[in-house]
Amino acid sequence: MNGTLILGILLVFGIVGLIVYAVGLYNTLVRLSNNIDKAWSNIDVMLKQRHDELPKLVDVCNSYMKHEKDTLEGVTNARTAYSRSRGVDEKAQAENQITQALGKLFAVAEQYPDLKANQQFLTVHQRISALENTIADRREFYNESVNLYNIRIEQVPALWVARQIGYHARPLLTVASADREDVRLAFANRAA
Amino acid sequence: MQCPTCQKDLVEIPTFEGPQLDVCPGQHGLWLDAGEMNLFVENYRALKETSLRAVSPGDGIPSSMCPKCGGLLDPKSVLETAFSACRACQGWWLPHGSLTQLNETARGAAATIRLNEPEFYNRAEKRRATSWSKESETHSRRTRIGRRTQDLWFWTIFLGGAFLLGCLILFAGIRKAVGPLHWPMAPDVTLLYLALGVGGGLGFAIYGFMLNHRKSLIESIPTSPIRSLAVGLVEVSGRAQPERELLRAPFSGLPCVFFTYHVEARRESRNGTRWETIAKGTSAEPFYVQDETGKVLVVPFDAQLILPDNRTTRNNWFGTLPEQTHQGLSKLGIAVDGWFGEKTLRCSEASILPEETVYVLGTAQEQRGAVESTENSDRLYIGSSRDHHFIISDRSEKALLSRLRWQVFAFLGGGPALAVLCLLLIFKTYGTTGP
Repeated sequence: MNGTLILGILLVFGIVGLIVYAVGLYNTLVRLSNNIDKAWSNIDVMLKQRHDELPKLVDVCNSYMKHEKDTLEGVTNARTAYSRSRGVDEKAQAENQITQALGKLFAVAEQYPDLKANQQFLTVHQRISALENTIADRREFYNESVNLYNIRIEQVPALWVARQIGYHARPLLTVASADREDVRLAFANRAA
Repeated sequence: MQCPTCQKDLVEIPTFEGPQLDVCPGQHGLWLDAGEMNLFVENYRALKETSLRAVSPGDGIPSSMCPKCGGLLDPKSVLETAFSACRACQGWWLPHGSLTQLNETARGAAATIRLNEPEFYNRAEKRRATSWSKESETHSRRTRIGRRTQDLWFWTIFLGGAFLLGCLILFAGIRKAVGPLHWPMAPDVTLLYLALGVGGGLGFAIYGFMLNHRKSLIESIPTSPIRSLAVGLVEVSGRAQPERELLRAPFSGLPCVFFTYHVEARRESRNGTRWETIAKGTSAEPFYVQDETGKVLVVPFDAQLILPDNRTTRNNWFGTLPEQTHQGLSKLGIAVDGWFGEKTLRCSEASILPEETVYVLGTAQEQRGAVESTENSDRLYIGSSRDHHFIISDRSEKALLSRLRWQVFAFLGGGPALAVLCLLLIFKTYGTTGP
């Protein structure tokens, strides 16, 4: 039994193992990165659906909430801002604006019992509420995907592979401090 | 389209009024196609009826190229506002401030048009900056990809070279060992076992990589709330519930939502006794998984099952099987009687009980004929697909990963070690140098 043979066997097995491991690590990082893009696209799909529901909501509310022009315009402007936005950050910001505007609108709608009894309003309200819940869930899912990716690329030995292929940490979806403030409501028909 | 003044590309700005405006990011002016003016000026009729006075070049507005069709722009003036009109396509080039001036001088009784011309220029400037940063990001991405490709080539050549060197050393070692080799012993059963050991070790290593891939997949996918499942590969966890009625596990009779069974018969031969599988299968009925947000149907066909709690029943001392097992076997159409009384059978089953926590990793798909609904229980189901894994387990994700981690360690560590050890033993035992 000679040392050359032992060295040769160990070298071949070792290098093959190293190559297979490195390839597996690279594939994992690619999967994690693509999972984030997919998670964002799934949020975008829901945002688009909510975006399409807003004109129906404003139409129904228009005939009842004649004196709440500002509130209705807030929803319309937020919708317009979303359609103009590009990229993850702008869309996330626009989405926060729509959420705020809708919250204000539904709170104001509480003052109009006729509107609340309108079947079309109820249907659209339910649909938008369900969409909002789904959007909130998918935002959490997106952040979880980003978290898994960020942890993985900072662990050894994935850290070295990540640096070689230029993978960097990605930001989480956060809510701007202005959007965390309570919504101020002003009712046009408030009794003196 | 380019600005007639500075030749910069015009930026398209969407507007509340409808059509997109082409605006110069350098704030020199904006372009309106023929017929769009009525959307931005209240009293368009008055504008049209006013005679358009041609302005001489001495008024300071030079004739230039139309941004749209390349024709000549004629300087014009209406309601004391200067602009340029294209002879060919009839579009208007309005210098900075002209649109606001026209709208204010041509007020009408129609719906109020509120224009914020400075905002158009600001947005054009921002969009231009964004597209520049995107272009530079694309350029730097291409540069990074170029460098990344170079790095990949470096590592490919380096590892390829190291592998080649390793092979050369191995061949040199084999030649050195085999060259003056005499084989004092004829190949025997021990050599066969050692060769099987090498093959088995490599097989374990490959299995270990497959388990590692599965573990990596489970780790990399976050758990989705069922309410917001998206179509595609998903991971859910929740309580198991039957779709219609509860099933009965075949051999124990336990009420369950899903079961799998495995029946083996004992065979005697000259070499000894062994257990031979005569039947195995799973229940076909789908079941629901429910968490705090909703429930979704799981169709367990073709799933990889990780249900470690097996219940096994066998023949007793008198050679008979329990009555419940008898009934289960006859329901499954498996004959119990052999030539000399009952066969010696080993019956294993595993099941998912109602309200038991279950983990599912599979592909969420739309049900055929599903009506559009926000409830995932009506719209989606989780099943198998060609492209993705499908795993069902009654363990939590954490317990599953822990179990997989140990398996990967055992197979990936033990497999290559076994192969190397058997290979070395072959050369040590069967190869000697010299007579």
